Amino acid sequence: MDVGQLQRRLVDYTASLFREVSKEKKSSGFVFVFFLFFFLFFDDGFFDEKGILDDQFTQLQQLQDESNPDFVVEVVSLFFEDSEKLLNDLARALDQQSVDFKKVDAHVHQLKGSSSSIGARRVTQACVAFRNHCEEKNIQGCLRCLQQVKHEYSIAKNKLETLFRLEQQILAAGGSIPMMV
Amino acid sequence: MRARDQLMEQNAALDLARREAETAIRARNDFLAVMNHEMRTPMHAIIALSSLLQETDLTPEQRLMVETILKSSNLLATLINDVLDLSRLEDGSLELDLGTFNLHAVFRQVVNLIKPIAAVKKLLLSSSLAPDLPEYAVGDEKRLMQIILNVVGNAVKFSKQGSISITACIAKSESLRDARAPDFFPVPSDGHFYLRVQVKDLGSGISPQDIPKLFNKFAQSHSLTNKNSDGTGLGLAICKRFINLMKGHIWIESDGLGKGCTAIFVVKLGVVERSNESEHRFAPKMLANPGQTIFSGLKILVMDDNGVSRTVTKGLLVHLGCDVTVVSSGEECLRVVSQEHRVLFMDVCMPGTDGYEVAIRIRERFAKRHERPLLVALSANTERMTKDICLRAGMDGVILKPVSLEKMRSVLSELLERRVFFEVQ
Repeated sequence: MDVGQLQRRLVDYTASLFREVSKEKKSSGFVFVFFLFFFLFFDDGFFDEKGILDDQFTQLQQLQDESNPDFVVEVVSLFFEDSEKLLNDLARALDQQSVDFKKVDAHVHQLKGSSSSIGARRVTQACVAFRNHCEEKNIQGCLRCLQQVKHEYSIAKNKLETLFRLEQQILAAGGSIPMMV
Repeated sequence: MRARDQLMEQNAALDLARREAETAIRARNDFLAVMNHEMRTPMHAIIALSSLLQETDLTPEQRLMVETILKSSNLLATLINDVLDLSRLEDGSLELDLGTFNLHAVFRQVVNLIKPIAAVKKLLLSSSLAPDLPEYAVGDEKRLMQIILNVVGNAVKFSKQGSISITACIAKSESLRDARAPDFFPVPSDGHFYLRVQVKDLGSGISPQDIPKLFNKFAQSHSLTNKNSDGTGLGLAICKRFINLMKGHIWIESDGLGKGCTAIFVVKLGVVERSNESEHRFAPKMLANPGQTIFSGLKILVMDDNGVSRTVTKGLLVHLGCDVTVVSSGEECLRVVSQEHRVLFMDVCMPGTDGYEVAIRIRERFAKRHERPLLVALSANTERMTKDICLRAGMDGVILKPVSLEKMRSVLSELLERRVFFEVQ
């Protein structure tokens, strides 16, 4: 593939991250009901944006320049590291005989903060739902949410890694990364 | 002999009077400056907390009350700003902030700001700039924008339907003289041009006898006062004075009530000397040139216990040219903070954060306000916000996350200028 084609593919792929609806989500009937519940009772614009990434990610891309050429990759890698640790901590915390909901909430809060800092909107939203269950001290709800968060996280991770791979291909072919507006 | 003595006495008396007057003005300005800050701080607290209150569970009756509080306090804040501006304009102590700026961008920004409000009222807003209107000019960008916003804002306010058109061009000498203003003498000169802006609306119009009173302080047209009227009545008075400072003139034409209104003003702006090419020549520090900023080397401390969020905030500030240090805890923050740091951004998202403590300790440590860093809380717009704690702890500002590049840029400018910044939704 020539540089031009690679660049076009990158632009299309990036655009899709901002608007795509995850196909996997729709396949599970249980998950659909879960979201319907939230849609009915939590009118916080949950269905407004269907993208995996939101404007915050674009903001990050704007911060990348000659003096900081790997900014986005660095921040996102940090996010991956942090999140994986938090997800493990969460699984462990929910596995205890007597669950410390304060601690669980604290972990989710951190994850919410990180994901919102890089624009992984769906992960952030899943965290919001998770925190509600923590507040209600609802173990089943929390376990479900943890699954949901893990799910959204792995989608986001996949997509971002693909994005970076595409960028690497372009750079390797001698081209430059097209600026997204 | 006697005549000479008398003259000398008179001179001495005049001199004394002059010095007393100058002292009085200085004292008044100092007083106003202090009052300005003292008035603004609680004002911002009221606005910030009322907005917070709005986000909690309220009965409809309570909600109505809170909305009124918010509206009144916003009005009061505007009034405080206007009164200060006006008094400085009156005593001649206000000076224009001259600089090179993008004239076309000013109009674009005005349209962007007014568009949403016009859209709600289903008003069509259009702006057209003459092809010979220079892209860059020398003048006071902020005040010019304030003037245009005020005039366009009035057009929107007093229109229930129809369209509002903004046209801008270079004033030709015939159109410079207005028969209704015999004391306006435009003096065209090399290196300057007169900008002519016309804002036409199809709204409620004004009866001809009310027109001269429009520019008086606190004038509000009684026939138009209704419950939506939320102006201070100072807008046009201030506009007129700014325009006078810019050696210009403003006037309003209307065919009568219900027949719309046209506001026209002319101001003198400087021409930017162009050399053969690029704009880099006339992009002094005031222009937001990507990469070149007025925050070069500004020392900032960022406290955030979340690694990703810390890295992002640091990246944002570094991109704006700041010299950023990051810490991850309150303890570390207190160890590292110094007088050299101009601003401390504290992420206060975690419940039970020590941002509160840190703010109190810093205020204790640095007795004089101008010696300590400005304390700004970064808070996510969620439940369990600790905004009220921040305010009580004496923070200089609270910003809602997410913070975009543009927002951070304007926050820093505002902070450095006014030393406070409270964001209100």
